Amino acid sequence: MQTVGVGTAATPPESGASATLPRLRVTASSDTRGLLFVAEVLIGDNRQVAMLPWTLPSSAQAKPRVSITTKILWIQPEPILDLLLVDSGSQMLVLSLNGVASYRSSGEKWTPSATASLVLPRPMPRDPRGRLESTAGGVEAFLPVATCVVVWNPELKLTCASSVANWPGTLGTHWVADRNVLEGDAPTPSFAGWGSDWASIADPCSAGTVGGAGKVAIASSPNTEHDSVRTYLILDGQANPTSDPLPLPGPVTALWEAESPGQATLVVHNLQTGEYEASRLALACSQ
Amino acid sequence: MELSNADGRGGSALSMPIAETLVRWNSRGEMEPVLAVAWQHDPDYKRWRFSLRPKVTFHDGEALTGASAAPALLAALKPKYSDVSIETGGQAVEVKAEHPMPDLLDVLALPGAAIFRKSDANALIGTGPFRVTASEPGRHLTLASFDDYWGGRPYLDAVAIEFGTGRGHADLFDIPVGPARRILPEGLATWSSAPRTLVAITASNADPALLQALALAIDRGPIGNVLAQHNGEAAFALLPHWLSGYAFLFQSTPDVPRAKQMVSQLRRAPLSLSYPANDLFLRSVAERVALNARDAGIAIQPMPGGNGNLRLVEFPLESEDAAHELLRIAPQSNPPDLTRAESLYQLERTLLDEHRIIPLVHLRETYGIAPRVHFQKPGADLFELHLEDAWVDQRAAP
Repeated sequence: MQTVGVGTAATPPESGASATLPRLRVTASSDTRGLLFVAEVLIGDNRQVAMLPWTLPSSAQAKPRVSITTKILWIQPEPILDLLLVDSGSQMLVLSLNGVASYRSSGEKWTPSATASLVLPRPMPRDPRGRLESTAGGVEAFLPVATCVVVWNPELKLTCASSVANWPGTLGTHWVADRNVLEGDAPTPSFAGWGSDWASIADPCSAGTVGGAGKVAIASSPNTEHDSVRTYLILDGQANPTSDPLPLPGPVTALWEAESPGQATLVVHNLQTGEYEASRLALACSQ
Repeated sequence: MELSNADGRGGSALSMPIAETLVRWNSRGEMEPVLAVAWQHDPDYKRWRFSLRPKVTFHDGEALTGASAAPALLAALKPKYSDVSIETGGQAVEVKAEHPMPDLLDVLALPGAAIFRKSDANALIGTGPFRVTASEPGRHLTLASFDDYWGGRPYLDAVAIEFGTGRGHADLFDIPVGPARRILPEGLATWSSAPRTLVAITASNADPALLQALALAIDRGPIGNVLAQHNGEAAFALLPHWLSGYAFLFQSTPDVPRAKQMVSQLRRAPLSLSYPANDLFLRSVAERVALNARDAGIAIQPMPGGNGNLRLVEFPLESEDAAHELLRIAPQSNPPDLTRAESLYQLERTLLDEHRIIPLVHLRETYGIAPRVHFQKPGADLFELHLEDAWVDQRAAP
């Protein structure tokens, strides 16, 4: 944040000339659009005012040690809640508001293979969320209004029950029924500047160090409509940025730890196209 | 969820969207789409074309189309643009007039330009996240969530709103601005809006020099801190600082000696300051102003109701558009281009130097929130509390 600056060109009062010398006062203020610099030129009782709106530049940072790369996997007009690669990455399951669709990998493209509709006991809440998780029995879709078992082989099928189940491998993490918030025994971290989405993934810079691979948090940042994501190392209760913010073409609607270690699934609502883009985020150590 | 509203002044900071507008101002002062997803205009601003959001339905199931939106739009635009006409086709709406309409988006963002329909049973059928299930004007209003809302179903199933009552068992209730001290139960959360209602003295028939002296004599600090119990900020400008960014340029301290000196050179005509008859807060403000005025040698008689030559008036903000709000407070027949902060400041400076309006205090709106009530994005919006983002923890005690 820029500080308020006050500059004067006044002579001491005893000089007798101070009333005629101009004085300049600059104030860093803000309005609903951002920073506003207000300059006042004071000459005696007269005051002239000039104003300059100003957009805050990104703060100077030490060289970031983590870089984030993205690869778009799927784009569609309907909101994407989550995406999961199965069968060693040869198939992709996409969870949407209306159901689950499966796709087959054919080179760099994904070819639709089947869709199954979600029949939910009640409508999803606003700002809908959902998670696809590999479980011992296959794949489950965890939604705030239901939990569904997904079978994709030999044919795609969805079987939903109107209950919210604990996520596998967590300390009782589950959706709170009818809301888009999670409840669990583990505390949920939240830091200034973070949005509502974050995921904990392997820190690429800690591999091979004493103690083994640590974790970094990758979190969305609601900077106007065009969110960004950034990695943080949580130390002593502080979130320390370890990457540059990666600007995105719209708000983040989902950010989950992916099935592959060191990766995350990101869904962005692209405001230019109006479509939802699901990407894979991967981290690399740039030290 | 139960909600009570005891204060006729309150309620405008509480967003309970039943009907929606084509566009709205966001918290950064930018226009953003709501029911319109795109718009364009000709170089003369005489012809605007809007594309309506697809797959939006009214609460009774009728689809939002140009034809279904046109009657409400036309009714909202006619008072401002008398020769306006609307043509529709599918999801397209074309607004035309003989005169330029450069500020059409500003008008369309106002609550009065919300798109709604009427039926024999329901006077307000909108497209918003809540639908009206029962209402008795001035007494209560019952809302239910609209499951097919295009922006996603709200968390709350139903909202019961009681007007003109105290807190009772309400989950959300307004805390009126007033002289009576209120002690809130421990653990109760409160939410306060940014200052959004200007209380000012307006003059219809008074010597501007006398008003200048009065403005110098009034001590605004106690009005915000004591009379409004810190629910207000002393106002020296018409627009609050968070909206304009320059209100500090108008700040001053009371100067009773100078006011006295000015008054001594004027012909002293008795002044009366009228305020709404049943408003205890404005009555206390009027009495305070009269007290300050007396110190400067100005005789002011506070007068409930009636038509004094001075009037205590409230100007609640209805948008985050600084230019629009300034022109609402002080309409101009031929307003200058107010897109730049400097031109906005110059107009406000001119208005205040004319001494026909004396700003006193900018009031916040404050709500008490029961512990079981949560908001999806608490504090995200300084201007409004969004009921569509609220939910009630059923396991917690009321």
